[in-house]
Amino acid sequence: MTAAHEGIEEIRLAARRALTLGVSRDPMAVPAWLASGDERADLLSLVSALGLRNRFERPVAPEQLDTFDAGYDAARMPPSASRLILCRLFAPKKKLYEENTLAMRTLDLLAARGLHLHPFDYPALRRLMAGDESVLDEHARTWLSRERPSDDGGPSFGQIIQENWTEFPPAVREDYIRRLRSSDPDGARALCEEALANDAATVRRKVLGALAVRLGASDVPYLESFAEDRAKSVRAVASSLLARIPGTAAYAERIDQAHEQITVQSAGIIGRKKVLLPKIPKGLAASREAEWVAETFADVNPSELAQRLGLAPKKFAESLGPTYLRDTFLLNALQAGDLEMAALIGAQLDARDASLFLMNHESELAGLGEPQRHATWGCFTNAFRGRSLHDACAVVQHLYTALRVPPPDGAVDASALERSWGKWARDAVADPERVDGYVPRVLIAFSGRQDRADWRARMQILAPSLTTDAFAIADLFDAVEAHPLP
Amino acid sequence: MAASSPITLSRIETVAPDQASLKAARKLLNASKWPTMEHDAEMRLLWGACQGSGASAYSVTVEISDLGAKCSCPSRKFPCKHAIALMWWMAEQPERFSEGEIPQWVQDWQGRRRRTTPADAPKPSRAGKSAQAAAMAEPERPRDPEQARRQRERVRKARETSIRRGLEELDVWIGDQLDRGFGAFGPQASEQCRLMAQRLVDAKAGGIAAQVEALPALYFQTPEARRYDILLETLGALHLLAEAYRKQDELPDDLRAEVRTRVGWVMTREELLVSSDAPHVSATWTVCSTRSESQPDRLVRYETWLAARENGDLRTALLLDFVPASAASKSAPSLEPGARFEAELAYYPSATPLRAQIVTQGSVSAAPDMPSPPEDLPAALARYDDALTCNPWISQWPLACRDVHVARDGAGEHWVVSNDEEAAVPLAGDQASVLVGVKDVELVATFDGRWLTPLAANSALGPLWCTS
Repeated sequence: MTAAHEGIEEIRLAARRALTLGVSRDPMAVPAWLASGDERADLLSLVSALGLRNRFERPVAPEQLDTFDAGYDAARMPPSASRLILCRLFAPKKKLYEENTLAMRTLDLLAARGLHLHPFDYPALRRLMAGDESVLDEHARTWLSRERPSDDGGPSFGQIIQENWTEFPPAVREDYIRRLRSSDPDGARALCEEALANDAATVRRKVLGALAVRLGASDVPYLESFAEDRAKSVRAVASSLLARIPGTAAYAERIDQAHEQITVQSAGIIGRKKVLLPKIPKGLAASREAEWVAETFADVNPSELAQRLGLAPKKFAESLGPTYLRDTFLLNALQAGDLEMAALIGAQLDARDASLFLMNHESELAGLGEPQRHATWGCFTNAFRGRSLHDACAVVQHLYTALRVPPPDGAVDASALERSWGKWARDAVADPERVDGYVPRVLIAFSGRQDRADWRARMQILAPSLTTDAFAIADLFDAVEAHPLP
Repeated sequence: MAASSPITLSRIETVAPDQASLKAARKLLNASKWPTMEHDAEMRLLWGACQGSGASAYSVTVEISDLGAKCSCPSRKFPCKHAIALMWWMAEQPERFSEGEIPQWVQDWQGRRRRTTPADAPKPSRAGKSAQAAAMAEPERPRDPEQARRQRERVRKARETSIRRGLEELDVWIGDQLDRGFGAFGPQASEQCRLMAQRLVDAKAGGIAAQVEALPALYFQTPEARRYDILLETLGALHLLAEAYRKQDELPDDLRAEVRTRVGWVMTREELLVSSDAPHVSATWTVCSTRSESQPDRLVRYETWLAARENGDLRTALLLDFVPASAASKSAPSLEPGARFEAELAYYPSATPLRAQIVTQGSVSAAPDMPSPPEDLPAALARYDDALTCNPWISQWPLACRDVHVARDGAGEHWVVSNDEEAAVPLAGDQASVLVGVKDVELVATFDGRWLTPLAANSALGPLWCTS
């Protein structure tokens, strides 16, 4: 620094004050070494010099740095080619219609093989990761929580586990118990037994309601212990749960009540056909009928009701009148594990009815135990083997979204869908602009490995615009499935 | 007849930059303003001459397949009203067009432009540029070469005079900001900068106009505590540029070229390729990153950042493409991060050459990693200072360093790139946080003097290629 520049810090400070207020109010003296006699030009030169001086300033290194080794395991990450496909399929600017379901399917496949997303792909796969955080590895969850803006300014709770679940807000606790019930019903109940007595009535009511998932005889003693609960709302939840467990007095009473609320009428030209109709209370608004039916017949086992009505299960299933009555008993059959009756009722649904049912009861179906979820695919076979392949694919998509288990082998195979595929493919070849890549993507994504190869061969006749993403999915899934199981 | 036209009004609406352009184009649907309107035998191209207010007619051409257009008028809008009007004529009265031989200037334009669609499209060139730049760089070609030379000289002199007048106005404007004080800048920033930028555009100093126009956005996205510094640095740099332009004859050739480019003189690809001042570099280039950004003038700016090892050093280059926002999804540059290829690049003359064009290019393959930087973070920062010393107007500058890691600063506010605590620079960008917890990273990033934004990285987990 020359002698002429010695006062540079003083000049900068004075300039800051003058330039902030305005030099017309706080005139700024230009140092002699810069002065040329033209005041205006000198002022501009000084601003240029100070601005340039600023640009040579670098951030000061912090005294303390929080450094750590994340300990990533490169062996548990997908191969480069698969990463590339993943990033293309879930690119931020791309939005596939069935993206959420595809994200779930992809994450499930990766998780099943013990593979983690590569951390360098997190920004590109943000939407994929948001599809289901529960199957992500710890690094991915940490990154997501770090990136998520905390809009409410509330506390951050981190990951919920058995040791800390009581510290979370009631809604989070309820969700945790609900999820735990689907994998470990007794474990979830044990957590409630330990902690619930000390909670407020609102919390007890919410969390107790989550035990509805995979309810069984082993829950009876615990639920009966709420008979003396000090809160009426909690007692009501406990007794409604008891009424869903066969063998209890409440259950028998519930069947009686349901029997009284349903009527069998003759229909058809010669009156041989039967129709089951709910006895809707007089004066009830039409818009509330579905809600009333759902409440009145909730948890009523359709096979037992059929027996009371003196109808064979098949006849019962075929006689269910309004859609909402049929949907209620289908759900009840699935929740009770009565898969025979569920299949009989499910056979009455066409693809669109099935899609609607699945969308409306996603959370209830998600609460079924894993074996039931696997078996549920079989109840909708008719719906996804209808005439419209597009509608059939929608059923497959909604089934996976709700059940989160893959279809059984052969459910989505080419021979089973031969007729609808033939029609769809003819239309697609004749006019590729009229269809999009949804059908090929779904067929490939939800087929087993062998069926996938079969579909791929059949899809060679289609325009590349329809199959590019589908084949990318096939490549990705083949690569992932080739990875050894953990 | 309109039914048989290959162009529909709805297509024209889609490409029009705004309603005002459509309205202005409608006024040009007067046959007396169009002495010629022609198409080629295959109905792929339209061209015509539109009589504007000037002495000579504007030359307009349109490619029917994607409605790409070119006009010799100085409008900043793309497509301009003349191009829209030509499309409109074809949509409504195609019988007014006669079949003709494709003129040379249309062939030249078509050869240069980046193709978006058909199978017969030639390999994309890197000649993308703003409509404004194109218009400035390629005036209509008169037939007599001597007359053309004299005309170009007249135009050049007039533009020099106009630019100098505009820069004087800029100095007055900067002085006004100093008088009022930076504290009063915010409330009127957008309007004031827009008006000043418009005056600079009128003065044909489009480059410096864009810097003035961008100032409010830069100001408002900067934390309040730093806004004084941003204004001081930007206004100071603008004045320095104006002063350098006035004294350009005293500058070394490369710095003079830098100053002229930043003020608004555009060197076309053709001029670059024949320029003796343009350094040519042949190397194996790796695409580190691509970035795109929508500009206020409805163009999308695509940046393709390249790096190559050269004599133990790391050389970087920036390819720039500008495409209309309406065609951006189809016209994105074809090079993707992680691509590697042999190529000869021609750098635009500059005190710190960075922007380049591909002269010749070999086949593209996938790069296993990013070229390794030879320096550590302190040395890379020192190199940035050297670049800033040579060229005080650099903004985002590529910086490459090895053996760094990303950590949280003590206050927990930022991620920083650190080199064993000797130096630490804050890290910005979407991809910054994925490097957290990764050891021994080799990083190439852009640096603005305070923040690093990653372009690419090497690590034990493999390469990271960034896009934004």
